Formats: sequence, C-alpha cells, structure tokens
Amino acid sequence: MIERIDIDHLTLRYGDVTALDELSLSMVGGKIYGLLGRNGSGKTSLLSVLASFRKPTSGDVRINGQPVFENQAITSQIAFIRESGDTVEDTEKVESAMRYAAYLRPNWDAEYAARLLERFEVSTKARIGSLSRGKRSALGIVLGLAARAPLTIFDETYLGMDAPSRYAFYDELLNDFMEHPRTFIISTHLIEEVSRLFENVVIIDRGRLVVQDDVETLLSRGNAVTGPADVVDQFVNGYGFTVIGTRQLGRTKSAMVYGQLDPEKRAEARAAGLDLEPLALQDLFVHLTEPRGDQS
Amino acid sequence: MSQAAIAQRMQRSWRFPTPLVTDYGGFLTAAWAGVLVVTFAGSLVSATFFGLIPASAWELITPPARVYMAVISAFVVYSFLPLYVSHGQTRRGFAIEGLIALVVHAALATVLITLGFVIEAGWYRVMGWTRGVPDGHLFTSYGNLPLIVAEYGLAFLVWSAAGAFAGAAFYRSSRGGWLALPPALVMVGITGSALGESLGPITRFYRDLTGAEAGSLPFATVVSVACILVAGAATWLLIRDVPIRKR
Amino acid sequence: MSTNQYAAFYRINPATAAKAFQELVDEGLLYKRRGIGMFVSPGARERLRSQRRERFFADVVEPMVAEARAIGIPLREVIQWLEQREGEEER
Repeated sequence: MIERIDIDHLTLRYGDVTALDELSLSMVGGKIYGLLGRNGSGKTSLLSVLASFRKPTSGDVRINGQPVFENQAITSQIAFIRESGDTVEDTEKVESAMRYAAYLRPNWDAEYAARLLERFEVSTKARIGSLSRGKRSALGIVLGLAARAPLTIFDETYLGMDAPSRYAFYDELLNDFMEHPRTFIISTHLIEEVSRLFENVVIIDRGRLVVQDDVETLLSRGNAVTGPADVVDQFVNGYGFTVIGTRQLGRTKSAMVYGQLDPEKRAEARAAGLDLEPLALQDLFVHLTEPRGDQS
Repeated sequence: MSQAAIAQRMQRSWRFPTPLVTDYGGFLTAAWAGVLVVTFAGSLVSATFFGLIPASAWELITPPARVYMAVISAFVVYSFLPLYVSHGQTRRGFAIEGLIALVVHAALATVLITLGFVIEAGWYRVMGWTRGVPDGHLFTSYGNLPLIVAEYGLAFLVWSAAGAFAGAAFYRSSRGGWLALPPALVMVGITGSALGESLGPITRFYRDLTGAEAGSLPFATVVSVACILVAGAATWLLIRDVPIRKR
Repeated sequence: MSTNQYAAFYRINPATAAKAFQELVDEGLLYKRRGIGMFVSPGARERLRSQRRERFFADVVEPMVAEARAIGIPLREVIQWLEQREGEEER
C-alpha cells in the first residue's frame, strides 16, 4: 500500500540544466492524480525520480516515509510507464514482454493482461518492433494496468492512439481503480479528455510547483470576469485577485482570475454588469503556466 | 503469483532468474547443436574434397564462442538492466540475478564445449582420423576433460565479465562504451595469455620464469579471477546509480 | 446502482461522484441506510420542484427580459405572446 508520497526540496540537474528546482509536494495514497506541465517543465524528471529511474541531485523522495532509490520494498510497488513503456527488445514478441512482466511484477494479473491485449487488439504473437505507435502505447497501458502496482504512473501513455482507444483506456483505468483501489499519477497534455478522472491536480512549471489542489477547488477558484475594461479592472483590483491572464477586444476585457469567489462577490460582479464564467482545467493550466517574457 | 511469492518479491531483491537462464541457455544449446552439425559436416567436406583433416574441427569454433559469451553478457546488461528497473526491481537485484544468469550461462557453455570435444572423439574414431592438440592450451590431450573444463570455464567467465562491463559502459553512454572497450580487451588478452592461448607474452614470461612446458592452472586461475573481480566491480560501479534513460 | 457505476458511466472520478451524492444527502434529498445504500427521501421530488419554482423568476424570467431588452423586443410583445400561449393551453 502507498500511504503517502513526500517530495522535499527535490532538485535534479542534467549537467547545467536544472530540471527540478527545490520542488516540494505531498500526495496521499488511493487517489487519481493529474500531473500537468508544459513540455520541459520537469514532469518526466519528477516521475523518474519518484520511480527510482533516476537518483536525485539533492533533496528527498519518500514513500510511506522510506527513501525510494534502490529500495526494493518500495520500488516493487511502483509501475512507471513512460510514454509507451519500457519492455523487452523490439525483436521480441509481445508474449515475451508478458512473460518478463509476470516474472518481475509481484502483483501481475496475467488474465487481466490477456483481456486488455484483446481489447486493444494487440496480438501476443506480434513482434514489438512491428507494432504501430498506437498499439505500442496500448502495450504500455497493459504493462501498467496489469502490474496492479500500488503506485501506477502513466506519463503521456497515449501517443499514436486514436480517440476510441484512448477512451477505452480511461474506462479501463477507472474500472480497475474502483475494483483495485490504488494510487495513480497521470501526466498528460490531453487535459480536457481526462480532467474528470482526476481527484487532485499538480501543476508544475520550470521544475517548480505552481499549484496543487483538488480538482473541484481548483475549478471553483478559476474564473473569467468579462465586461467593460474599467469595471473589470475595478472589480479585480479592488479585491486583490490574482490575475493569471487577460484578453481585450475593444472596450471589453476578460480577466482570468484565480481565487475564492464567494456568493457576495459574485452578486456584486453581476450587479456591476460583469459576466462570470468558470475556467476549464485546460484554460486554468494554460494561464497558470503561460510563458512570460521576464523569465527565460 | 501466490501471496507468499508476492511477499517474497517485495522483500527479497532477487530470485533465481529462471526466464533469463532458460531463454539464453535454450538459445545457446540450440546454437550449439547447429554448430556441432555444421562443424562435423565441414570437416567431412574438407576431408573428402581437399584431403585436409582438421587437427580438431571443434577447436575452430572456440574463439567465436568466447566472443559470443562477451556479446551475450553485454546484451543482457544493456537490455535487461532497464527492463528490471522499469518493472520495479532494483539495480542491485538485477546485478545479482544477472550475475547468476551469466555464471550459469558460462557454465553451460563450458559443458557444451567440453561435450563437443567428447562427441568429436567418437566422430574422429568412426572416421579413423586422429586429433592433435595445438600448443597454447592448459591441456595437452583432448582426453583431459578436467583441464578442458577449467580452461574454457575460466575463459568464458572472463569474456562474460568483460562483456558485462562493456555493456554497462555502453548503457551509461555510448562514448563510455567505446572507452570501456580497450580495458575490456586488455582483460581478455591477459587471461587468454595466462591460459596459454597463442603463447601470449604472459605465458611466455611465465614459462621463462618457471621453465614450465605448458601454462599453469593455478597461475591462470589467479589471473582470471583477478580479471573477473575487476570487471565485475567496474560493472557494479557503472550500474549502481545509472539513470534509466528513454530509448 | 452504486456511486461507482455512476462514476464509470459518466467517466468521472469516483471520489467526485461520491461527494456529489454526499451533497444530496446533506441537502436531505437522499438518505443513507447503513449497509444497504442510498434512497431518495420521501418528498424529495416536491422539494426539488419548490426550489426550482423559487428560482424560476430569477433564473429564467430575468435573463429572458434582459435578452428581450438587448435585442429590442418590447416587453408588451413578450406578454402578448405569453397570453396567446395561455389561451392555447386553455382550449
């Protein structure tokens, strides 16, 4: 069981490049987490350290209070599927990948794996190198789900998969999560598709934590305030909201704000002729991680 | 997997690596059978059409067999280290299981090579040919099976260790891999020389020093074990904290 | 039906589904029976209807009036239209 994950001042450097910069965050077990970040924000680096694929430069990663790196009792509970997942050589057959997974994975469910392969139409006799990109990703999904690892991580495991297969993946993930509760971390760029699967979302940017919260809280805090520019400015500045983005068309301005909007403030905004609209997770993500000119 | 097996997998970092041993042992045995047939057929062709009977046809396949041991070992480290770690095992666990698999593999290869000489004895007897041992071996007769086992056993272990070292270096970085080749070649060279192969400089030095006629098993053992330990330690240093990169 | 079935059907996180049901319990629209499940409270239908009745003018009529003003339909015309509908219903 994964009770909790604690990441404390985690730094990871590749030569001169700082991929993770004193990142700290905690997760409790038994939830589906979404990990969002732009390309190069450090998502894969973070997950790699978490799964003991890499040793941190400094800082601490603990699961259930124990350090992760080279700790068999912990690593054997983690399945980290990077894109299409790591498995046997391309010249080998899918059944060989299944055989080694069954040998190495303590909770491997061969029957479930067979069912999933059938559902994603991946033949066990096919050579791994001959699989299309989408089927290769599906194989990664099978390796991840059938491992039944207490901590299962999918890092952009959808490349080349068409929408029906991706939704089949989401359905399998959700059903298996309900039947065998465990901790999932899903890193994706297809936010709209999966955001409703998440209970909690972590957004990182430039190797640092931007925000972490339950999806509902996050969504209730993100709003677009639209109306005449001066009225919008007055409302937004008056309450000291964090403005994460603005757009203007003529005299109409739309300010994306992040912060608690209680009913009185909502009523006041409406009375002032302002439109309030909740931001979708995708928009919130875009604005919270927007490139800014002042930072390189 | 039973509950007990699950618990064991989570607590102990290694088990007997059955899949690795059966996969590579199975392939080795099949390849051996094929090579055996080809070798004897070749000697028959050579004797029939050219009137040339090899001193020992089986002897000819031993140099490529040594290289094969190194290549397989390099491949096992290069390919299975990331497989193990990405399936939740530790580098330490892989090191132990890989070591077991490669030692078993070398032992099997030694048995098969020796068996080849035994079968060849029967084949040559049937054909009425005679075999001669060239200089540069610990043994002076193909009937001396214990020394054959010792010589090829040590050679295969050293080549495997050197291969594992090179495989680990290539996994760390391709530049590191190329840099590891010279020391790996030196190690197999030293051992080969100590085992008497090609009367290399070390054996010559040893013979000059002691006045012995052939190589010495104790001397060769000391040199081989030293090389195996050095290569093994270097391999562990290379993999103990290696990042598992994307392919 | 379980909350998990709802979660699977709507492809939403089961914790989110469970929270939604809990909110309905807190509002008294559902009640829980330990070990059996959740049931619709007697009178839930009536309460929902009265809640929606209370909000009808604010939520539906006000925006309609605002929209009519914005596009220049006199309220008189809206009223006439409604009266006509009323007449049809009575027939």
